[in-house]
Amino acid sequence: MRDIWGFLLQTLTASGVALLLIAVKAMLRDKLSPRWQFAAWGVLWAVLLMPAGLMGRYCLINWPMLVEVVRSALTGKFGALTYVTAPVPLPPVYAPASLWDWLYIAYLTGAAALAAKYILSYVRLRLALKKGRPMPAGQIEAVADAYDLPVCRAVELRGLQTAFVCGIFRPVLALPADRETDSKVILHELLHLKYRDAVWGLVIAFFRCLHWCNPLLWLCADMASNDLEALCDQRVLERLEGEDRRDYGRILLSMADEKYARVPGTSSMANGSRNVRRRIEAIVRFKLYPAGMRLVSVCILLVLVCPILAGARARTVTDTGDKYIDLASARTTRCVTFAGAFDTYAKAVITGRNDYRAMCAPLSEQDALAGSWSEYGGRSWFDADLSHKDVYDRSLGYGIYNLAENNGGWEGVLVLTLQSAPEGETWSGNSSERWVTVQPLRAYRENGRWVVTALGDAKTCQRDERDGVDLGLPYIEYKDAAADFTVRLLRQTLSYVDSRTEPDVFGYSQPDMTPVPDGKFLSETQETVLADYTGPEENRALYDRVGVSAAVLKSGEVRPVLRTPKSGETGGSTDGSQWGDTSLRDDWWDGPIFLSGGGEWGGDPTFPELYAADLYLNGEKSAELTLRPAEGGDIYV
Amino acid sequence: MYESLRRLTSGVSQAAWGYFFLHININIGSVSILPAFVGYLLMLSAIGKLSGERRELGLLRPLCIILAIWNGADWLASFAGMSLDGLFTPLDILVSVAGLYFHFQFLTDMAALAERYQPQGSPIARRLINRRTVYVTLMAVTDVLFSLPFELWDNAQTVIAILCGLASAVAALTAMFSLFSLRKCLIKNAESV
Repeated sequence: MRDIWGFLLQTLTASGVALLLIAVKAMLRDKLSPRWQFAAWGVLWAVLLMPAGLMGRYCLINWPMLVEVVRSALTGKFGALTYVTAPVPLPPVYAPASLWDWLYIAYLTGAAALAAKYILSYVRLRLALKKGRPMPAGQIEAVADAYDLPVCRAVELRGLQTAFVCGIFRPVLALPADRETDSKVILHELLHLKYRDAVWGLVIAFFRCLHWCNPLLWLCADMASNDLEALCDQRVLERLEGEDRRDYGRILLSMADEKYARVPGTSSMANGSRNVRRRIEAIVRFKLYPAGMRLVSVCILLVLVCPILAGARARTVTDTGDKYIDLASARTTRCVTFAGAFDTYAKAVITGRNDYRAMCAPLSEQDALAGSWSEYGGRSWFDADLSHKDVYDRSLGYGIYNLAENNGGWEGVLVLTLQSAPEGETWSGNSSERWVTVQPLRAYRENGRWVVTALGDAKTCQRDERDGVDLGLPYIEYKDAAADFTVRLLRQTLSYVDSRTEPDVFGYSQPDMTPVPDGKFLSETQETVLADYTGPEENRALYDRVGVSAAVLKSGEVRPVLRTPKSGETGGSTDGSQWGDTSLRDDWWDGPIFLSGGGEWGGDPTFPELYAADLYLNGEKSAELTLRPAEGGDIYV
Repeated sequence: MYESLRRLTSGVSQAAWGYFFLHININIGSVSILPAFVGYLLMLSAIGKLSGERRELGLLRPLCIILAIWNGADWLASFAGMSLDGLFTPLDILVSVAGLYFHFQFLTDMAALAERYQPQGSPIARRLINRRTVYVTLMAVTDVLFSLPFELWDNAQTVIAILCGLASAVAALTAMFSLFSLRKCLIKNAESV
């Protein structure tokens, strides 16, 4: 916790769990043993020790979103996300500049003051115990021997109301000097000693300091302390028989009106009239719980612990129409995969939704998004480059072309199909020549969430889909030359998150435009092999057939043996190899000679460094080539 | 004596039919015609009839009412094609915990009654205890598996959770048959009186 928002998130998360625990314990108060009642607090302690919102998950209730709503509403800022790096307060990294910074300083001061108070009271108690008169051997040793319990230094103190154990490493048993202490009270304290219950007192005091301004957690701390005493009562009763058990109840009853002061690192049998009454009720219910009870106790604890500790992740944004709520929801609905971030960005463009864009926008862009919310009203998002709202053909979805890892992030080109040709252009109606918008994008991690930024302006262009690569869209070109030919291999990859919906009764299926922040990409690859004649005019007559066989060449590996293309054959394989052989007719030297082309579903969507290729002229292998990415060519060509 | 045995028989019978309603589902669309809340109402009535014999059963009344209300509300929601499950996680957990304890204690108490009224050497009580252990364990495992983040395990987690859910239903139904066997014993006892 480095600011007041981090503390708010941590304490609210714990409060949610505390409320659930109080409800469960109220429901099972008279049903499960004190051992279970105390163990159940372990769930709350685990939550208190776990940074809230860890890995983008929340506990029971979407507290991160609520904190963001409050934060944006109070500060008017949207470009921040609350993080809890540690469950304990850390000193602020900058000098306080706002009311919220000063509030955090006030919180830190309160926590430090309470801790100081606890330490001081403990030190004073230890000093007082030093002045106590050592107890003569006898009663304590007798009780310890009878029940096989450890003993520690014991002292008598004047004015003491009740016995207690103080300390963890060098515990001292303090007994009232003014009256005789019943052996059952000593048994109770020795059991505290045996089970080191003072440690729990210290843990509870630690959490009291951390959450000193949360009354609900103070209530839980009180309840946990009482449950610890009830557990010790249970342990005592398990060791007593018949009339002794009733005596023990009477002793507790006599303590109902005694004053008690709780000091961290101590355990005291008396804990207030109301609590003593509850403990007596527990004693009345006392029974040796049957063996099967352990099973259900463990099962209930597991059912409590697992959903609380595993947490949940926001998957969809809220749709209230309120800027603060919807944008906070969007910021806290993290894209957990780069594919999810690209998917969210594409759908934000297609639908023109501001909140979808906020899901995958860097924090630095969030204030601008909130501004455009106010400017355009509602959730509409208009981007200067992509202001084509309602012009995209939703039924065709989107594609991320030529996805490649770069410098810890992923880059690719977003392609969206337009419903019609842009102004001043024409479209034949042929689906392979549709007009599209393309924009290069980069996805990268920012504070545990994947975000997307544009690498360049959006452009419109026309598709040119033939066999293999869509020549109207960006692709990578690999090439090498030999004899009188230049061999080119064009490669293009297409990735998208599957958003297909179930077809309706007419078999019509529209892609779901809800972002999938944890989406995974499905990939296709397209390859086309071409040859260009670069030789002199007089050599043209030398050739009547040309063929190429190509396959991926991994650096450091032996050149693969390539398939020999048969006359007129063309083909490809899922390993990325392509081959083709064609007869040369008419003015074949006038343009690129198509040799092979095709696509693969689920093929490797990365771009190989090199291709090995064999050039065949007139059916004979003429040269071994190494195709390299073309100079200056990149995925955005 | 006869009246008491008749009351006992009726209580055990209602408990058995309660499990029938809880675990047999016949749906018309999204609406069950054997709703689970009827099962809990039958068990509530059984608790009323049997708590004279077994004091601990009385403690289960509030839990049974909670479960009946929750399942009743869920049944009503099913008319609108909705479900209360997953709507608010804390309530889901509360209901899961209530269900776990309720069935554990209810079957434990039924086994205690069987121990008292079954013919000597009859395995009904032992069977009920075994079914209870299996049923409660599998219920807990199912709840735990469904509560864990699915993206971690993908489909395997769902499949295991569904299998556990099915197995726990089978355990509950075999417990139901044991309760019917107990009822048969009680009828015989009543006839002999």
